Amino acid sequence: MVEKSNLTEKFSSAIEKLWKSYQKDTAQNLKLIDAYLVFILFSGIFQFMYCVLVGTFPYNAFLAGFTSCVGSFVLAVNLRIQTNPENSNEFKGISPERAFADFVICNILLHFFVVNFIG
Amino acid sequence: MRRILCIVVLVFAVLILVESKSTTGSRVLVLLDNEDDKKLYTRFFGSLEGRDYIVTYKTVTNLNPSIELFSYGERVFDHFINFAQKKDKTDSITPTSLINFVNDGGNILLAVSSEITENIRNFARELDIEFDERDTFVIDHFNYNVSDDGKHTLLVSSNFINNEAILSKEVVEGPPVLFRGIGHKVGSVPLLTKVLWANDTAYSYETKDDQVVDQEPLVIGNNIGLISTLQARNNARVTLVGSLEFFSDRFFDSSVQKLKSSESYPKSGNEAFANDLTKWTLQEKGVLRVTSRLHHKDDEYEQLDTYRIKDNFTYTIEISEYVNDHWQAFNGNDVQLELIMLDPYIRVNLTALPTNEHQEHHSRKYKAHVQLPDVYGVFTLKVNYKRPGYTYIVDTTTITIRHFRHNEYPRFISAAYPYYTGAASMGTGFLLFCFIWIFNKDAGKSTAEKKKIN
Repeated sequence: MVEKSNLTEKFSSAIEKLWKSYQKDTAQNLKLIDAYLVFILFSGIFQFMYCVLVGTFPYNAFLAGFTSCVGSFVLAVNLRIQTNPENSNEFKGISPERAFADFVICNILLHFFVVNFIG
Repeated sequence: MRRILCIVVLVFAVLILVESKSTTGSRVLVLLDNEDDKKLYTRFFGSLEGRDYIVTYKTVTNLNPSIELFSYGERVFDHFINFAQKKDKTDSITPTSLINFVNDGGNILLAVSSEITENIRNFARELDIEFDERDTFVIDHFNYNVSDDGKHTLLVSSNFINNEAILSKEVVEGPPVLFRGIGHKVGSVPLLTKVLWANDTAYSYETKDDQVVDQEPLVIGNNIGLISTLQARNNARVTLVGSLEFFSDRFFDSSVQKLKSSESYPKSGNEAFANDLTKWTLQEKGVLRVTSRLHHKDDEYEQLDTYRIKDNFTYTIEISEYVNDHWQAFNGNDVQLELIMLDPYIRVNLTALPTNEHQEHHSRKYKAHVQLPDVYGVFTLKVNYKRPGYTYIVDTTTITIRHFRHNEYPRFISAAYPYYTGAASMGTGFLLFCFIWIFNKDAGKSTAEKKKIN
């Protein structure tokens, strides 16, 4: 019992430490991306649950809605990787502005297809 | 010129005047053994002539002029009544010519006796009717008339078909008929109808000598057909009567009393029966026709070629029946409508609409409301009405059923609203994100760094 409570205590303290360091050391723009990612994640989960409960009837609409979530998530993750200062060695030729421009163009393209497919 | 016109008008006037009561024509050929036979059936031929038929009498013994049912491929007569029993010397009335006559729409009344000729027997075989051997009679030791000569062949029968199209109620409920002649076996062809048949105690056999029955008779009991009819698919009618005497004046006037029966009738039912039978055979009754058909959407009145799947649809057909010289409303209530594309998709009863009693109607309307099937394609609306005694109705109309047009569906599906919102929120989320990203001055700095700066 003692060991177990000890373990949970250790675990929670680790989480707390992680959270604090995240708040302290992560750049603000990356936090913004993270918040955006969480929003996308919940939206995607909600649509998937809805589809499981209600059925696949307007299947194209489901695919479009869900793909827009997945696509947005992937693009946002890419933006996060490319704009993280810690990765600047790997993306020497790509400035954060260039990464953002890519992100915007890809998103516009993605939503163009989504709107077409949703019916 | 004027004179020619006058003649033409006169000819037409005469043609209209002699229009018989049959719906298919007025030219009748009557074939007899010899001229004297005409006197035996004066009442029968009298009623025929009284109904405005143009009757041509010919005899098989007199070869000049020869008997032809066809001339240059055209039917010369509309109806053929055969009372001849002797072999036709010219052999122009062969089974083949009779079949051709029926196939061309001609009606035939064949009366035969026990001296049936091979030609007629073969013709009957074509109709799936098998007459018994030559010289046989239908014998019944329990149901013969008191005036019988001891051989018990003068049958009394009231086994009439109860079908108002063929025999009127007065005949069916009237006195029994007398019959002396040959019996036949009726096959299973659905076009055949037995009109008169023998009693359960009857059998068909030769009457010579002491009437020892040492072989199985061809038919016995109520399987013996005395009078049978066939209505071909083209509505031509053939009636086979196994007794020639049935139509004779003697039988018409004879009294009827069964042996050991108290019921007696001063006059047999033969005359009324023969009248109804010839009327039916010569297409004077039991004739149906479709006068109009109409289809439209329930809430519209225009007949369209193309309907949409699941449309609410109304079909109306008008049917009239030829009764006693005029067309009147048909009284059947079992007419059905089928909607067919290879298979019937819908089969419904048509409702007979009531006719107004104060108004004269020549037809009755039958109506059905249906919802068209959820299948698109070319469909046939078919009214297929085939009942014994009535001419057949096969009335088809073709309609096209199309699918929904793309703009006939709802623009937005309610079940998909979460997906629409999901996709829209992704779009707005993206715009919002871009907006914050661009105008965020502290981009790229962590909280610690900011503190340092401050």
